[in-house]
Amino acid sequence: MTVLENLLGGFAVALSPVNLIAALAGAVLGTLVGVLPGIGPIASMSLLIPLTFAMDPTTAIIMLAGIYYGAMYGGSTTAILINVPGESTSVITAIDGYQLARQGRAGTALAVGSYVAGTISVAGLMLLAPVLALAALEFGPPEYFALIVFGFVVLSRLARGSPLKALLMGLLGLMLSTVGMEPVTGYQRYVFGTLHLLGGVDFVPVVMGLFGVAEILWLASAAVPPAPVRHVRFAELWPRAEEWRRSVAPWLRGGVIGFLIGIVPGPAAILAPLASYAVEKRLARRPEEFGRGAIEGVAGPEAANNAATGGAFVPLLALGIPFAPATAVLLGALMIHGIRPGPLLMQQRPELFWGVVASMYLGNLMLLVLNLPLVGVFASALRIPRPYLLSSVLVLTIVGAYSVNNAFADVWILLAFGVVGYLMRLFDFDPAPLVLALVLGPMLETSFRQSLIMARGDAFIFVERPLSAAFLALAALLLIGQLVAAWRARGAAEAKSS
Amino acid sequence: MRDAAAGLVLVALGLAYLRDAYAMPLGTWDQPGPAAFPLLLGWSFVLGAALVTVRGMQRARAARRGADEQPPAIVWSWGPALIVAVSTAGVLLMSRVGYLAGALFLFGATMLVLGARRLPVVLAVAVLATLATDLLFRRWLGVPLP
Repeated sequence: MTVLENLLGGFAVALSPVNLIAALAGAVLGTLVGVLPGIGPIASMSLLIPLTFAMDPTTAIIMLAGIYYGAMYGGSTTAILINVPGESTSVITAIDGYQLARQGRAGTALAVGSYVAGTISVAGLMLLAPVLALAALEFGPPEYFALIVFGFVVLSRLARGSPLKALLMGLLGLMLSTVGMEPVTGYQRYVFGTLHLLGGVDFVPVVMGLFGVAEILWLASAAVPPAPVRHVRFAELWPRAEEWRRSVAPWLRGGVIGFLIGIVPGPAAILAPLASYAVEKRLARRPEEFGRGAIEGVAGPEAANNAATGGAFVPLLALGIPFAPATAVLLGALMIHGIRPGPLLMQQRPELFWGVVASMYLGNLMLLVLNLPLVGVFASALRIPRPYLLSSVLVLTIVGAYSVNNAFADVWILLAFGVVGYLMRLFDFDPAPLVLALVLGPMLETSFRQSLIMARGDAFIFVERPLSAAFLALAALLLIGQLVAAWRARGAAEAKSS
Repeated sequence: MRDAAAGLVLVALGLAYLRDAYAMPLGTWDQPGPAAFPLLLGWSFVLGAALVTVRGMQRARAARRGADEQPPAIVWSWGPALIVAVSTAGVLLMSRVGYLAGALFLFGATMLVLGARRLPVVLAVAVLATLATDLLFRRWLGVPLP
């Protein structure tokens, strides 16, 4: 079957009433969580996983993916209207978007470039994922092991704060993933006599604790006043002809930049807008406008931010390896539904792969249609007093954690990881590598042990196979580069102080 | 010094993890046992945590000499501790008495801890939110609640 035929099949799946409702619910919910502080897309996706148990896997993933890309739109709305980025991915948008909004110009509508970029990234996903999946059929355990190691090293360099701390958090996540029955022999590790831990530490309460409860604790400790909400007139939202014209090229460039950054490991949705902003500033005819309300400063980063979400789906669906916390949650959800993404997914479950791809087209369109007329409604959600909002989030996370296994043990894990997440934030440790490692840990261990068994104990197998050697060499180069940079920085600081 | 303190806690955590790993069968190179991966992880973690400790101490010394910036001090607040206490009490109540009582307490107490001051409004919102979530999850979505 050709790509077009597959895509048409995907549309047949995505256009079924139940999947349309799921995409709409995900997009609206995502926009809301993007607007509101206190619960981001990662915690909301985890929170909703139990609600998807009764759903068909395709419907479940369509809804969860809708939350992911919906949150990108929602985060931009408040960034532009009131200079409060709902998500860290919209910080760059706030710089020029808010200035445009203050001038009564169409900053918000320029975010519809997200639709253009979303379409570019979905097209990229559709074309690249099958090719990558075909190549990945040649992957054996050593290649998977090396690829995951490479992913962790890249992520540690790009994560928030110190790379060493990020690596440590990745290791902590891997250590947590060793709790429970060991994957090869069934030996019980770190279960401390409890039956609940035999199946391992469930990632849903851990993610909700680290990203949901920790955020509530953080907001409870900080006296941040709620932002004033501006009334927005519809006429303000519609761009002028010149603004449309100046936006087209940044949308296209942002779409491509975002998609490419989305594929590689790391916090792509944060890095992509930064890269796009830098490119647009460099290419601008009027760079002095940047920071004071440059159209390109909103159009490009918004497009890149959205395209990065599509790019992040490529390694998840083609290789079965998530390189971002949000796609790690999606992988977890797929596994709960008994589906293992990877090179064979497109052959074994074409309706799921192409249905999700088609629903992303439709979801982006829904967001475009919804966001323009309803932008004021979404922004007014910020008027909900914080005590009422956060108490609801807390109860919802508790209900979500309990309903995974109908067990209070998961609720205690949720609260414990809420405290851990709060302490991590206090001591400047990024939780994202921990989540990724928790999900990828079993795959890393299995591929490590299978490789050694395959090679009869010869550890050189990792460097004898070209692809595996290439990934490990790249990881080693990155680590060495990091050490050299740190050594140089230290030398420069010592020279300065003396 | 806070990086050094955090690093020390992590070293201790790594050593505790390693202690249990040494109690598991190690296997051989061609048939690695259940301890192989945890040992690799545990020692890498202890090494990394020790590096964080050493670098934290170096930075603290440099900051005292004026050669490095002092990291911002940690500001203590009762808010998070109270939320944790309220959540623990609410979950215990939920496990003993059931969802309605636990959720009502959790909604009300969390709102008060987070700064809501008008008691009648807090009570009304807590009752409505409890009933609404019970209706939504238990009756409409079929999600089992405690």
